[in-house]
Amino acid sequence: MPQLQWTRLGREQAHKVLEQLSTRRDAVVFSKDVTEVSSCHLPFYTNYWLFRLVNYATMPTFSLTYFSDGTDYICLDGTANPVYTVNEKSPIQLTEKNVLQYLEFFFGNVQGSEGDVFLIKDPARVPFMSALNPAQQQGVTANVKPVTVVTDSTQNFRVRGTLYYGGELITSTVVVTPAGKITFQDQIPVLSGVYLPESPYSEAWLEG
Amino acid sequence: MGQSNLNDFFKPGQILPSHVVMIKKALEILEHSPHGQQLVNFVEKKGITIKIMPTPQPEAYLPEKNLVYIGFNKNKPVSPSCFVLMLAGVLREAQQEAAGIKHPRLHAPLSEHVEVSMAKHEDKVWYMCAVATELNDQVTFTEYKFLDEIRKMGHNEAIDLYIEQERKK
Repeated sequence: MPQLQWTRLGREQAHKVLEQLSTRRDAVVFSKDVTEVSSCHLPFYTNYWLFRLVNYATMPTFSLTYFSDGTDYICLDGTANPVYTVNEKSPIQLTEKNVLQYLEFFFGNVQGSEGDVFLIKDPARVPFMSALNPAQQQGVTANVKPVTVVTDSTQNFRVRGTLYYGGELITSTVVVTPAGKITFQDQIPVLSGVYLPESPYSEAWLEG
Repeated sequence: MGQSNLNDFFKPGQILPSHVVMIKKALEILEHSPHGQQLVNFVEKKGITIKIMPTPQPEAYLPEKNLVYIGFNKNKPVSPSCFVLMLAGVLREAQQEAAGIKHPRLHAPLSEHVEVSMAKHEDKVWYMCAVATELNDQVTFTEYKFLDEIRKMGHNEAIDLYIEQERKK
């Protein structure tokens, strides 16, 4: 998936977003003077866009990302709930072509108790590969399976590949329903003790 | 091998105490440290509002001088000791603001940003180290492992320097 393409909103549009957000009961305070608002379209949503608010008057900068259809705002909080809520409100449009993009978006924004899930599309371009010792690098290269996508008889997408989670590489089938719900089947741990120095998503998404 | 189950990924977030209880407890713990006590006094005197918000990664945020947020992911909540130290850090930032040590204006020269922001950051981390060390020295909080926690937060070098300096006193 190419990196998300964010477009900075003009002053008026940005203020409109901030005003709408400020009326919410659970609103997080963002000052109009020091906050930049950007938006981004995702190919599998028709009515909802992403809006990213960045407060530049703090160090480090503080940012939150929301789904919005222009009136409703749902904050991405690192759990699956906001994504599933949007999938229900504005039915997600998944195809064999964009299901990988959806997974990359999903895993990039949802963390589990053991941190990030990262689907490895290319073993030669695993983030922070250089931080691993030579034996681990070899292990990664030898154990990563190419990603395959098929649609089964129940119209679920079955994405088979190797994932990084909790310091392990696990080959698994990620089952994605047409409504965007995700489960994992046939999990086979293939390599353990692979600890990346930082979240794989802290390096920009490497694959075009 | 095989410790991680990917389906755990979707287990509902852990059941946590209410926000009110978490904040109250954190302030109570801070009161056991002289530097922390000073922060609690500041909260009371200035009427600082402390809120918890859901965020993908642990965050401490000071949008206004009398309002601080602590954020974390419900799927992977921060430990109580991390929460206390994050609170100490952001309250110290609020103290800096109250004392007139503000972040430079957005269009201020880069040198000013580097100088002021780094100084503020150093002061904040130093304060967190003081709180962590003071609490870590108390038997009541042995299990909280405050020194381990501040290292996990990425302040290895700062805590080593702080301890070294305290030893020399």
